This record gives sequence, structure tokens and C-alpha cells, in this order.
Amino acid sequence: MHLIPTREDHRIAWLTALAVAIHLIEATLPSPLPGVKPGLANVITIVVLMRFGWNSAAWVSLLRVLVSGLLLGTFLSPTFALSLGGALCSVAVLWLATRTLRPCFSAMGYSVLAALAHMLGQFTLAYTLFIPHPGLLHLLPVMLTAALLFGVVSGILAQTMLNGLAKAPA
Amino acid sequence: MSISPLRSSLTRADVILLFIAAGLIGWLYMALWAPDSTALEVEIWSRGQRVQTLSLAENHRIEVTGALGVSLIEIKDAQVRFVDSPCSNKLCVHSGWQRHAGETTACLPNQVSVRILGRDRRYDAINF
Repeated sequence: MHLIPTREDHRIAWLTALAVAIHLIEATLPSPLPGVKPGLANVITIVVLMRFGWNSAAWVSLLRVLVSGLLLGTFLSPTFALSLGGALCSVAVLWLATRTLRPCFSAMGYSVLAALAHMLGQFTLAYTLFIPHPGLLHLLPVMLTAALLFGVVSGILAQTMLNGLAKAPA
Repeated sequence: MSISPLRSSLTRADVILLFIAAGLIGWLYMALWAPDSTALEVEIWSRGQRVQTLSLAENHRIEVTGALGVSLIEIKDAQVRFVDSPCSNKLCVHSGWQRHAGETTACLPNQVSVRILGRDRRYDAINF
């Protein structure tokens, strides 16, 4: 079988590579709480969403999780499951926000939605599968606060990047 | 499919979203950090035996005889604590008031422990 990669395939591959690089750098940063990290790879997902649409963004987001899992050696581990659960949840929310609502958000809105959905998905999975202890629920608001703040930061970065891309020749 | 036109600044929907998200998170803090209404009973154990099961709704001061001597346990305002225990480090006293279902405090030297029961039994943690 001979597959001919399209221009879009190449684009997705390049953008995924960029997101994976960011994900790997971030994985080396220490984190005060498991599950809390800036999630700067989200910036790439949002930029791709705004420039190329939901399909490309979903590909980049899910491939990023897969490739990063393979490279970090967490593939199919609980960490990977949480990461994938979060990514699936945020991609699903972005689908709802772009396909069913009128496009009323800027990069900021999508970034915050994606960050919150990622955290909620990850948390729900952790709570139901790994640690079904009511004590864990006390962490939820703290983690969502972190997600909101990092979502805002990612939104600003994504908008800055989009502004730069808008000036650059296509 | 791209979202066009590319918006360069915050939209009204963004601002509304931020306010709703902040409001929901604030509400979660209040809902999840309030005292646990599902905590119902206190089980008191001494030297491996269950000594008493008491309701959290009533205030009590109980003396429980353990391996070393008598531990004084207080139940007040749906919370429970060790007031005193004949141990040297007083970890049980320092752990303070417990109020959530599933929480346990113990005086290990005196072999006395106090456990809050809720509607259903939960795990402390799962390890694998």
C-alpha cells in the first residue's frame, strides 16, 4: 500500500512536532501538584484551531499526546491515560464550541475552554479510575483555578502568535 | 474549516466565559470546602476492638481506656478530636478536629483510634 501524504498531513506533522517539543520541555519542569502544569502545548492546539480548523487541531492535540507518551516512556501508563483523557475532553469541548455555537470566542475563549475541559476530564478520570476518595475533591477547585489561570496565559500567547502569523506572508 | 474572521481582541463571549468560569470555581470552593454533611457517625476503637459508635450530631466527651491509660475524646459541632491521651508525642491531639467522612485519627501508643463514618464506606487510597 502506498500512501501519499497530503499538504495537510505535512502541516499536521510539523505542528505536532512543535507541540511535542513544547510538551517534552514542560515535562521536565517540576510541578507543585500532580496534574497541574502550564500546558503550553495548548497554545499550538489553539493556534491550529484558529488557523486551520477543528480537524487539524484535534489531530495535533491527540498525536501530541501519543508521541509525547511514547517519548517520555509513559505510554499506556496512568499518566498517559490522564493526559489522553484530558486531551479528548478538551478536543470534544472545542468541537462543541466551534461546531454548535456561532464562532463567538477569540483565542482566549477557546484556550480557557480547552484548559478547563482538559483539567475536568483528567480529574474525572483520576477520581473514577485511580483514586476514588472524597478527599481528592478538595483539590478540584484548586486545580481548576490553576487551569483557568494557565488557560488565560495560553490564550494571550496564542493570540500573540496569531497576530504575528497574520502579519507574516502565508 | 477555519474560524473566520480571525478575531484579534477579546470578544464579549470571552468575557462572559471568564466570568462564568471564575464564578463556578468560586462556587466549587464553597461547596467542596464546607463541612461534610455526609459524615454521620464516629466509631471508637481500642486495642483492636470497637468500643463505641456515636452519632456526630450530639456532643459528647468520652473516656476510652487503651493500652497505656485513658484517652479523652470530644465530639462537638459534628467534629471529633482527641483532647488528651497518655502518649508522649500527642500526635493524636495535634491532628485536631476531624470532620469528613472517611477521616481517621489514632493514638497509636495507646491503641485508640477514631473513625468518621459516612453513608458509604470509601477507600483511603488505592495503590498499584
